[in-house]
Amino acid sequence: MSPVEYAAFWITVFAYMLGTALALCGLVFARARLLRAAGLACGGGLVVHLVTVGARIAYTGHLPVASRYENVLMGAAVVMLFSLVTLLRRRSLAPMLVFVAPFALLMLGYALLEQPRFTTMSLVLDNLWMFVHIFFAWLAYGAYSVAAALGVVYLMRSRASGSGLAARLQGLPPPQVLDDLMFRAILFGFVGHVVMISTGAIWARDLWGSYWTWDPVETWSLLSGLLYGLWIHLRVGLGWRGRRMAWLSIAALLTVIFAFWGTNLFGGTSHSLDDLRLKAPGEEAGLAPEPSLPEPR
Amino acid sequence: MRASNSAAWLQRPLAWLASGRLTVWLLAILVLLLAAHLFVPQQGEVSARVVERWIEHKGIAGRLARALGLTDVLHAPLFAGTCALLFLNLVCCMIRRLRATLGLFRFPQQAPQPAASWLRCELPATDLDEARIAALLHGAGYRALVASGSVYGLRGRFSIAGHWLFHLGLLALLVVGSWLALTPAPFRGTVGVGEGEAFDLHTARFLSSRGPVGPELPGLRFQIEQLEIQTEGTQVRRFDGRILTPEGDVVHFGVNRPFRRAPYQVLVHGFGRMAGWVITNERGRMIGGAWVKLVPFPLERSEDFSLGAEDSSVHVRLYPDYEREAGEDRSRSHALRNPRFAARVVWRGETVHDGLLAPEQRVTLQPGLAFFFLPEIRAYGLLEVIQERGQRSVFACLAVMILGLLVRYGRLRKEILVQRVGESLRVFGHGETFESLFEEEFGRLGSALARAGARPADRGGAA
Repeated sequence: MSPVEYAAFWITVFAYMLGTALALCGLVFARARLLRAAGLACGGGLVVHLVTVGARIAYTGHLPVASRYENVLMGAAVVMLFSLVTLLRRRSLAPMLVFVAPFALLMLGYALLEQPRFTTMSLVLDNLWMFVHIFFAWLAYGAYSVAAALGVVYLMRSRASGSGLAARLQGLPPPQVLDDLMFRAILFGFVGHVVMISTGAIWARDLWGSYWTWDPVETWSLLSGLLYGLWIHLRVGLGWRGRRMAWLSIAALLTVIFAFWGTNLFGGTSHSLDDLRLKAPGEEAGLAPEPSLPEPR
Repeated sequence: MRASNSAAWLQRPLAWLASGRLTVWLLAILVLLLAAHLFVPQQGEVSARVVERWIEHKGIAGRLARALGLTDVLHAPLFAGTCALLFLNLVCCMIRRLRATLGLFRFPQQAPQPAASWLRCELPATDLDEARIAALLHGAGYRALVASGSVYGLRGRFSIAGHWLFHLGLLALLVVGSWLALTPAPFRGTVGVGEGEAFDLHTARFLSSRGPVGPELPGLRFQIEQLEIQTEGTQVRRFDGRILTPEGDVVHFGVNRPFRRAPYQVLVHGFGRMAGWVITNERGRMIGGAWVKLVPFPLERSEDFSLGAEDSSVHVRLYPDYEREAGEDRSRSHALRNPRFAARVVWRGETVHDGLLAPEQRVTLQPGLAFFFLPEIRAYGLLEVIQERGQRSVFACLAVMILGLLVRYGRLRKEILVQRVGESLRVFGHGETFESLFEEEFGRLGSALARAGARPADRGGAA
């Protein structure tokens, strides 16, 4: 991490923390002003988040796709961007920040655990298909996260009737609108998902010599794609609506999260960017200096 | 009579095969099978003993999993059957819905009757005539039809074609995917091979770390024997011979398959260098660095980097002809194998180094605190295997699918019907898929009609 990136990263974390706290307070105490402030905090956080991404690009000299840290950093930015764009279009959806802001925070925490070391863009990664693959993965996962957040809001909204929470959620759009918005987000994500899988297969052909190897990440990704396909068919074909679709959108996001994080935890995937990364000269033999966090200046 | 009976007999299974409910069930089964593939140890991925131990450990559940083929999901009849049925389901759905789809393309010649599920609102006394209503609808993106006192607006009539296109692309992708999986195709792609490194592509990290590529079926498994690149000129040596090739030439060599040796073509792009600079602290920890990307030889380029402050920079340049300049008679291949970099390092306004910098040589920027050096410099051969049509096919299918989704959901089918009842207007609307969002749009359209048709007295009142 460069000093600018380091500082911007932590400012982003604090902004999202503030956003989470404000959104929670706004929801619990039914204060629209606090929810608005949460949106502003997250918006400010997103601006600094994009500065972090920019600093990363300036530091490494390539797009942030060469390591898990970079992917998660960018992924969190896309999730927040999508959510805030949705919020800008419908201000009344501010309670969804209760889900999105901690989610982005968790992503940033995970990014930090992945050691934000200096990475080179290796021959293996420097491929047009890889950029297309990862770009659409961001789009798909961002949209799915928004859909899950809308699912959470839907569940809160539908549960609230008759309880004390009802008054606090008065400003939210009606459940049917939330349901439609969730469907829209999933459709958008599904388009990205299809492109992501197909371009990933083409890239895999370049990289590993085979379009499809049933690698755990590939299988999980296909599974989540099928699950979202199932979601769409259940809604369009069988006319399912409401709470069960909200639950399904949240469950489907879990498979996406597992495809991204879980498979690496359990090992045995060739999608580990560390395996793909061309090591710095001598790094494998332990000759090259270890990259590390910046020393205090 | 017999023919009509057989048609009736066929109708039920065909209707079952073309049902959306079957699609849902098949998708759900596929999701479950893939989940089983991830959680149940699979034959071919782990040793048979591990699978047996797992089955023993799980008892009845393990035996049931084996009976269902869950210990080898991808080769299980259940998986193949589900995929085949899904394929049939897709085909039947498309055929069955084709006529209805084509019917929706037509713009009606007369205004249809609104169904009970259509949204409706009533506008009070208004001066709006049909032409103005049609113009308003036209402005909102509808194609309008004025017929027998009512105005009918329709937009997105080709939307349903997207549904059909997407599934056509999906079918094509399934066919292409099966064809690609079953055709032993050569490896296509680029591989960076370091100087002096020997690569067994099959087990190298560029390939799947999980074992053989593709399912382990005779005729599908392929293995590339060790391919060795040497930088003695641009020389490629294969396992059963030696080929000398200049840059840009195509090299043919063999791929070892169980039953045959297929021609394999490699385009040698030439060799390049990857170089970079690194700054470390006294503990040898990297506190900065940058890499020059792989560039083709000869490297006539140089790179300037900032060292984090305005008055500190480094200018790195490959110096291929240093020996010739020094009067030594060295070959070009020697220069290729032994590159030298010249570096001019400016640290806090002072030039601390200007000249050749050997890979292990360090420049002290700040005694005991920071050092600058060029780590090991390696040469990479970039090989590209050519002649592969699979990517284009996959891409074409993908393009059809994306186009389908865009057509389907980019402009959804929406209908508006405005009927005059006495002095007032009755407005009906129907939008598919996103009903509640259409409801909002319908409300806006109703307001626009009301505003446009408000009589002067009403306008005054409104003001």
